[in-house]
This record gives sequence, structure tokens and C-alpha cells, in this order.
Amino acid sequence: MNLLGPQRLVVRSLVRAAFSAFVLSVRLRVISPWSYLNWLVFPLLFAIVGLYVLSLPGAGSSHLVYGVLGGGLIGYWSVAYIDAGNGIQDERWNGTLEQIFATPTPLWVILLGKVCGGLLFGLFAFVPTAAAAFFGFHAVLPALDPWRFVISLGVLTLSFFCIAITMAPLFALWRWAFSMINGFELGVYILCGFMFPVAVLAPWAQGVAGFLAPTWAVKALYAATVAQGPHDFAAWWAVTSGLSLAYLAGAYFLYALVEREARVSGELALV
Amino acid sequence: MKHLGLEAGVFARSLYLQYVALFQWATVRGYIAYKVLLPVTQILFFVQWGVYATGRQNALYLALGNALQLTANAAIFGPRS
Amino acid sequence: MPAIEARRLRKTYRTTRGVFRRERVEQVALRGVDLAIERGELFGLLGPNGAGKTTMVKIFTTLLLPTSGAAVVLGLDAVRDQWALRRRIGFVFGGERGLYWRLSGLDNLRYFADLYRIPPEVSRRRIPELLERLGLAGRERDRVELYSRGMKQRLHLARGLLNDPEVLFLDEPTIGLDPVGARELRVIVRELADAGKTIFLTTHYMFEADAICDRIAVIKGGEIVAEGTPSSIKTVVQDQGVVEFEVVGMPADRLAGLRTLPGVTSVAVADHELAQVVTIHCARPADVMTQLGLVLDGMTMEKVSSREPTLEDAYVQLIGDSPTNSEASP
Repeated sequence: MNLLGPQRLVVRSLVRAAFSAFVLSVRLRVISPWSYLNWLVFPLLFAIVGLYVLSLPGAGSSHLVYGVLGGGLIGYWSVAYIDAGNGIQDERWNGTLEQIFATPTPLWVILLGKVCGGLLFGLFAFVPTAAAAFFGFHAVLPALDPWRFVISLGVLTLSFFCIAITMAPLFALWRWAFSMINGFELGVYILCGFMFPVAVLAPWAQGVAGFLAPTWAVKALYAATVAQGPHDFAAWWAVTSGLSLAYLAGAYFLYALVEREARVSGELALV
Repeated sequence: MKHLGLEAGVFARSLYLQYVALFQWATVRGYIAYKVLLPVTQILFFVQWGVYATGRQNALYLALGNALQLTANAAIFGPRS
Repeated sequence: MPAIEARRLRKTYRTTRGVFRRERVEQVALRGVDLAIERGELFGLLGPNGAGKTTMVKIFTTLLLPTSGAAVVLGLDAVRDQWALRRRIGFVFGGERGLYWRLSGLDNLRYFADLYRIPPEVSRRRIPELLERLGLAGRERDRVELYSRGMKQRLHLARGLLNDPEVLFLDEPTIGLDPVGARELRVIVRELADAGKTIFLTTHYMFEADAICDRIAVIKGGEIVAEGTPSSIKTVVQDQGVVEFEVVGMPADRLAGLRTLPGVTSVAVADHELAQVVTIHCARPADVMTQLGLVLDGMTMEKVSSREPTLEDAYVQLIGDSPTNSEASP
């Protein structure tokens, strides 16, 4: 990465650019009504419906934990991933996508800052859903292991970050990719076990889920809230991290492709 | 009566233009994304969730409910475009 | 070494159309353009919509890759040396888009200053200078959505000047501005050129190019059809005159009749409220004026006049029939 000049200065200027993109993305979310839908309203709806259904007589009591955390996970994933796509689409509609592309800062640096902004807001989704569970349904996490829970959440964040940063350039390059965004979002709800365990899925679906990094982190996250095992945290964290880094390796080639193809097609200016 | 006729004409023309525009706007990818991928995954998610929470006996109810909701979406979002 | 150079520059867009049976379509935007612009020059590129002006600007600003040929700016290849080049050039596209409307003008400038990797100590000094120079001081903390169109365009220009570029590309910067706003912007652009910046300006306002450009080129269908100073371009029509008049309802057969008059090189019709303004380029205006009555027998002509040709007349001559004219043709 020699973007001309002494490496120390180059790195400092790129960190500053990424941080500026992060601040911008946070500020735009604060003032956008849509953003509150994604991190506040939708997760809350999922959590309340989940908690209601899972509290009905006949539902297994161990299931309730999916109501407590599931809404937050859905909100976190939606903001981290959907907002990466929405962010690009908004730039396109604003006419700023072309402007930022033409600056001396590589696109991945700008998206790095934006994705981090999305992750921060995504984490907020756990606040209303946990509050709804506690105050509305008196539901708590039965046997919370705080350290393992925090590490699992950190590993999950890594996986969301890697997926968002890998997929964001696709939205820049292909306008049609944006139309696929909701289908993939819901697919991950199912395959990664946000609201029910992956074990209830068909064997082939469980096989597909195994290739998705969040699956293993979500498994660890839920395991950190219940006492009964088996618990293999180290392996789950390792698989999540390994898969996440593999996505990043793919992203390296994807960004090179975007840098080139966007300049061939000239589609960045199109809405 | 003449006024009503004129308005009916405007209605008919806009109806026709909307219909034609639909095919100008449509793409195979867009159709697959919005009319196949999204509905199928939504139905699968809610059915699987409901079955996990309440048992297999409610699966059809959840599938039909989601199908109805997805159909209603077109009516809700239609006037936006 | 020229500041900006195009050598046999060619760009073809490839796209598809149709829903089920996809058909590949090729659109040639530039057809082997050669161009050289010296340092400190204010160069204007004139042409109708779709002529290839924006494509050329986007190639020079590293946003597009040419299909073949070379685009060199400040000795740097716009294809391979994009990172070095982006730090040394600025660009402004016409229109209101391209800004974060919900943020203030100051926020927009600070963000782009960071993306241009300008050291904070420099941007802290330069941003207030630019706001002052472009008449935005005092309004910098207002949201951009509250700015007038002229203010937005000046903010675009401030963004384009953040990195103190040696070369500035302006793609139709005055489009949609009111006359006062457009004039203000032209004055600023001329001052920038006088301060030593190389400026590449595209426009389809002839008077704009005539007023501020040192040299201009006319592009049509992806090819340069004329190049030189505004006065040298006018020599294309120096032995001609222009006859203009207004008429209500211009039948196609009468238009064809005007075209057959001796010495007439082109006839253009433009709508003006309920009437049409007919502009005739011809070798002997006095002769044409005497024969107008014969061709337009029975029709009422108003505001008949004869004048010296302008740059716009030269442009019309070079570009050929305008769409309005074509539609009116038999």
C-alpha cells in the first residue's frame, strides 16, 4: 500500500479519513428517521413478538433466551449489513458516490469508517430489546457467563464487520445487488440461528450455515447464557474468526475489481 | 357527465402507462430478488420460528399469514412508485 | 509539457437492453480525440448534450478508463497514476447533487478535506479562506439543503479547491444558475485562472466561453471539430451574416424554401413563447432580407434584423442543425 509519501504520514492520513467517514456515518444516522426504524423499531417488534410467542404455555422455557437476544441480534445484523448497502445506495442517490470515489482515499478506507458507524448503531439494538424482555416479560438470561458473552459478542462483531466490508463494494459496483439485500438479510436470520437454534434446520441447511461466520459466534453467544452444554467456546470463536478473515481475503480482490470495473462502466454516477 | 368522462380517461391512461412502465422497469434480477427470494426467505423464517416456538401444527397458519402480508406489501408500497 | 493532454482518446460504453432477450449495445462517446492544454490556460470545451464533454472530464479526473488512447494530466497517466493525480487535481460537476444536504457546508468541506488527505493544520486554515473567497462565510454552519442553488455550486467549487489543485476541471458549472449567480461564478473562475491554475471548463453557453476562455474547442459526436481562440473560431463564419426574425407558425415547406435561397448555409428555428425565432446564416444578408417576403408570402414577420455573427453562430455552423431545427425540417 504505497499511496505516495512517507508510510507514517500515509497511514495517519488514511486513519483520519476512515475516522471522518465513521463520524459522518454516525451523524447521518442520528438525523435520519430510517435509521431509528432499523436499530430501534424493527428489533423491538421482533423481540416483543418473539418473547410473546416463546412465553406462551407449552413453549419450552429454555427457548425464552431466543426472545431476549434474538431481536437484538436481528437489529445488530440488519444495521451492520443493511446499512452498508443503504449507505452506498444513499451515496449514489446523493451523487456523492462518484465524488468520494475520485478522492485520493481508497474506497475500502471510506467504507471501513462507515461500516464501523453501522456496527456502533447496531449494538444499540440490544438496549431496547433487553429492556422489553426485562420490563415487559420479566425475562432474563438464565445463566449468564459475562466474560464468554462479551468475547462472543466481540467475535460476532468481527464477523459482521467482515461481511459488511466485503459486501459493501458489491453495492457500489452493481446497482442490482441492492435488490438482493433483503433476501440475504432474512436468509442469515434463518441460517445463523438468531431466533431459533440451527439444529432445527434441515441437514443441508445446517451444512450451508456452517460456512457463515456469524453462525458459530451466535452459537457461542447463546451458550454463554445457559448452563447446559456442550460448550466449546474456543473452537466456535476460532471458526468464526477464521471464516471472517477468509471473507476479508476475498474482499481484497473484490475491492481491486470494484476500483477497475467502476471506472470501466461509469455506473457510479447513475442512480 | 363530461367531467366524469374526462377523469375516467385520465384514469384509464394512467392505468395503461403504469402497466407499460412496469415492464420497462422490470428486470429478471429484480423480479427474482423481490418476488421470489424475499418472500420465500421471509415465509421460511417465520414458519421455522413459529414451529420452533409453538409446534408444527401452526406451520400452515404462519405460511399463509406471511403470504397475505407479502401480498399486502405490494398494495402498500405501490403508490410510492 | 502540456498540463492536460489527450492522445487518440477513445471511449466506448458497453451496455445491454431488453428484459428477457438481452441485446448488447455499444455507444461510442469519444472517437480518438487529440487535445493539448498548456499550464495556466483556461480552456473551454463546447458541445451539445451527448457530445462527449463529460466523458472526457471523467477520464481526466480518473473516474473513467478510456477504451484506448492516452489521457495525461500534469505528466501523470490518468489510467495508471490515479492516486498521485487525484491529489493534484480538483473537479466540479454541474448540478446540485454531490453534497450531503443534511449536513452543513462546513461539515461537507471538513469531510472532503480528510478524504483528500489534507493535513488538519492546512485544512483548518484553508477552509475559512475558501468560504470567505467564495462568499459563503457566515452561512457555513447552515445545512446545505437551505442553500440557494448558487451557494451550492460555490460550495462545490470550494470542495474542488480544497486540495489547492494545479488543474481544475469544471463540468458545466453554471448550469441552472440565475444570471447573477452564473456571472459571479465566471468571475471566480477567471480569477483562479489569472492566479495560475489550469482550468478545463465544459459548457454549452457560448457567451460564457467567449467571455472567459483563453482557448476553446468544439466537440461533436465524440470528435473535436474546431479548436482555437474564441476569435479564431468566429472566423468560421466571418464572411457570413445572420438574419433573424420572429414568426408565428412556421410550415415545413416555407422552411425548406428558406434553405434554398442563394447564400444560405443554415436555418435554425427555436420556439419563443407562442412564436418561432428563425435564424438564417448566409453570405449576403441584404439579399436574403429582400427575398424573405417572397418565400414567406402572406405570413407576418416581426423583429426582422441583420447582425454580425457571434461565437454562438460559429458554434451552430460547426455543430450543424440543432434538434429543434431537425424537428422542423421537412
